[in-house]
Amino acid sequence: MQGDWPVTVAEVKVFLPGAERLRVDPGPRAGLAVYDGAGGQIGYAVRTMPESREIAGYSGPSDVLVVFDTEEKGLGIAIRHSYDTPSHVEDVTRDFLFMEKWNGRLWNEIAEIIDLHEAGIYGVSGATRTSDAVAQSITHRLALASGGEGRQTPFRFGWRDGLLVGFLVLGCLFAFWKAKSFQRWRWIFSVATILGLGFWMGDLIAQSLMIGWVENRVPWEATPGLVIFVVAAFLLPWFTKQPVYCQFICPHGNLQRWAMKVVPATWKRPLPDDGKWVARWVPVMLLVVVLAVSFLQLDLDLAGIEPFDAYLLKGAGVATIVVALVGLAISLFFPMAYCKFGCPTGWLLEFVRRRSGKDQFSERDWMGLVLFAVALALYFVPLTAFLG
Amino acid sequence: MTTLSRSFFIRFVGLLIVISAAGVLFGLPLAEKRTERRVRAMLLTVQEGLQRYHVAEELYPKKRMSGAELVKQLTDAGFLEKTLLNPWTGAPYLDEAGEDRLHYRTNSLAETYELVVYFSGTEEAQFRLDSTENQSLE
Repeated sequence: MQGDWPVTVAEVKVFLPGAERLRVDPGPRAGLAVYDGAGGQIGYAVRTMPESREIAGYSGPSDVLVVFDTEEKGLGIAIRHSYDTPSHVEDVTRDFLFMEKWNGRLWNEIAEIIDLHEAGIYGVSGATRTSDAVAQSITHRLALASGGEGRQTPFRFGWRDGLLVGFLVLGCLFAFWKAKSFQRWRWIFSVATILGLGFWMGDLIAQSLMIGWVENRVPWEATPGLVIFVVAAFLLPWFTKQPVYCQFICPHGNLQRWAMKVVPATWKRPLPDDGKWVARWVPVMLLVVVLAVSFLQLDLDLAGIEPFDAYLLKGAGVATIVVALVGLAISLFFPMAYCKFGCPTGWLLEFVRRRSGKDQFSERDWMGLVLFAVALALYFVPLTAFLG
Repeated sequence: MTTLSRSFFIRFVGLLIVISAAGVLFGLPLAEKRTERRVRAMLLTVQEGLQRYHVAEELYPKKRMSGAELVKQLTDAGFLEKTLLNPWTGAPYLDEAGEDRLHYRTNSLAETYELVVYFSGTEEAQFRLDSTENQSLE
């Protein structure tokens, strides 16, 4: 991937080996005419940024290069740079079926695509939102260049959004409606969150998702269900004192609760007080890492510091799988150890939770102050102090 | 050791371990980024030296060589400052010791140049600057 800067000949050469020179097209297409050594035009190239900046995948937009031959037939696409979750972008670039779906299609044919499925372009399993955003970026950019209005991102409440809101509503019911006749179904909901929300949909609240939204924008019109889900996860503990997401909805939390039941109770060990004190700093330090990666734009996939991407199975990286398995293994002996001492997202949700009768400055507030100081330092200290 | 001081010791060492682990987690990509910025700066300096050499000699240096050899030639000819640092070691480039991932190539008539930085231990180019297709790092 080349980055978020002007297209180079070397990038175009991958699709047009004879390319020697690029010339900016001053016309409405605003792309690059590609010339060979003899000065003849051999193709045309466009990138989707900045026109498609508003089209975000899971956590951000992608800059895609599209190259055509002189008959305006697509020769190929390449993701130049992406603000989306790196592991999802990698899944898309490795999916040749998706990447080569554009080859041989005419410019106008691509520009007129409204329904991706009708056009035979299907999302990449495990990275559906990222691949859909890549596809929409291309169709939007070409439609704009052809004089159309491009892809408007209308408010779209799909079945995924409906399911997410459904999980949220059920989670709230189990949190607030304590009737025994209803609570006895909680185990079914717990299994449903693991299988449905986790393994099937992969929609877990994670640092990689929130940092992507903060760095780019919240894609409320494209994924309203997920936005409602995340906002509610923060607002509910703030207003109701109930950690609804962590305690009832989070698939990894529920999986740990099931894991606790696997080993005999006598095997479980309480963590000593000093161990607890030290372990409570783990999520705080992970949040320091998140801040550093975000402010300094470091090349570290934040999906790898949490176990949540492991639920995507196909697209999961090694780091996230290791975190998930180790977290689960530890939870066998120290109940809910990952939730209590390892989860930076859970720490944030707990941080905003309102607690009654505690007006003094607690240990948690000191930790929050540390994070605030780190964020201030990263914002105000010149970048050269960190990056040389 | 009293219980209180033992507890303080455990907490202190534990906190140090947690901070160190976090430091390693973001320290590695941070070090990588710092090196990358130094490599970029070095490449642009060497490119400027090459262009000055070309203005004076009307040709680029004639043979294929390592980064250290090129820097030495350009420095000896007065087209580069002696203070240029090797971005991978932090030592002066003229010392020739240590890692050097920069390679210089030219064509048979020495009319073009190519500066390539490879990823460590691979043949994959990390940065490429040349007189035809990649004249800038942007």
